[in-house]
Amino acid sequence: MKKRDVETYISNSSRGFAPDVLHRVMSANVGTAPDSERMPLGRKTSPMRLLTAVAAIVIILVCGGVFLTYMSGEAERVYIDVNPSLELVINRFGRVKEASFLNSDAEALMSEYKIEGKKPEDVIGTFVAEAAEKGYFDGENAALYISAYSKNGKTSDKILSRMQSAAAGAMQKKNKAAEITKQNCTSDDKIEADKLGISPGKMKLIGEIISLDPGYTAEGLKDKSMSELNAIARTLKADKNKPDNGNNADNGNNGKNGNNGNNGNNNGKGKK
Amino acid sequence: MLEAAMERLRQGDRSALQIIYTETKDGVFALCYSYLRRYHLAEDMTEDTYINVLRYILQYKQGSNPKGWIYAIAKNLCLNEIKRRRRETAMPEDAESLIASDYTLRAKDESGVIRLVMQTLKKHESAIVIMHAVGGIPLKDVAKTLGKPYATVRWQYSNALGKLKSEIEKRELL
Repeated sequence: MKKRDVETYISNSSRGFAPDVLHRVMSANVGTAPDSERMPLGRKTSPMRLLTAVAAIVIILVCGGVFLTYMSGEAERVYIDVNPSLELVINRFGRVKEASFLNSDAEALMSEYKIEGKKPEDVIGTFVAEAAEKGYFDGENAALYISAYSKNGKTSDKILSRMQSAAAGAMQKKNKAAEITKQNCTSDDKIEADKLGISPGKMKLIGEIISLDPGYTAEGLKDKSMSELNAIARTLKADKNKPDNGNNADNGNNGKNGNNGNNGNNNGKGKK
Repeated sequence: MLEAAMERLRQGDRSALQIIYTETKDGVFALCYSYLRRYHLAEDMTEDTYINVLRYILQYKQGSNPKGWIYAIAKNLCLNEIKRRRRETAMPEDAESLIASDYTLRAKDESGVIRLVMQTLKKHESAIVIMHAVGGIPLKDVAKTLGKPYATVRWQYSNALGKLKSEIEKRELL
């Protein structure tokens, strides 16, 4: 048996299934409506239902708007420092909402790229690759600092880790090696950093140097590159750990001009 | 012929309704039955369909598809009826309850083929089979009525025939 046979069977077996209503229609006293009278057949929408639908659409739009506004709001800020320093404002979708160049080096490095809307990992990858091309990771004290700050204090370690991995990957591709440090910043770091127009990550490193040697000032150190600051910090730490150098916090210029790439007159020391 | 009858009806010749009715009644009733799944309700909606044809014949545009116009009237009447009934009473959905409570169906479906279709197939499949195989509505018009793509309806119809074939063989009806 074929499907066509089934069709024929159904068709033949159902003959006479439809009732005969013609006589009822003919006996109904129905006049012909004028052309202007519409046939009342369309599924009418009651005003209440229409109102409900409109209200639902408005609620959906408002909620959607609120949700989008919330999600596109700032979740945290991430700072990338080599010497070029870049500030990224990350939204709750995990994308870059805004980017600021904290110095002219960063502008020279990244101004050709569209940063907004990208994943922070992608941005740091490009940043590191470009910085490597320009020789920022060539010295022995080459350093990359990634710092995160959020208003509510809940900075995401996940984003820092992801960015650290992305930076390490980009560096590996360029055959460069640099110390990559990730850190969370507090609102105090941010306030201090904003005063000097630097990133909180850099501020933190400067704070570390000043705590090791109070002879240094933030004002004097703010224009140094991260590798220079890193070199100063390393030297100070090494001096402090020397057994015969117990009080090394303010022991002259020793260790301040060694690896920081500056002459003695520009070592960051000055009045606080 | 149908087109000519529609034009005659437009001109006020009510006897033309007989031709229109003969040409379309199986399709209209099958369509109504597919939607309402109640014999007497489908019968009432079929009657209302032709009453509307008589009343609003001036709205029919000459040269358009007359069957399509009539089926659209039937479909909208059925949808209104379903909506009205949903507000008033709960309608049983399963085929067995529908068949058990529909005395007219049992009387009119002497061969039992409509019951076989309802029992064997899902609701949407039985609607397609009743409209096409029982009512003679072309599958393209069935697709249009149901608001589904033609290819989907053709595929569902073929599947439905396959299921019916197995059932007919099992019951040794052919």
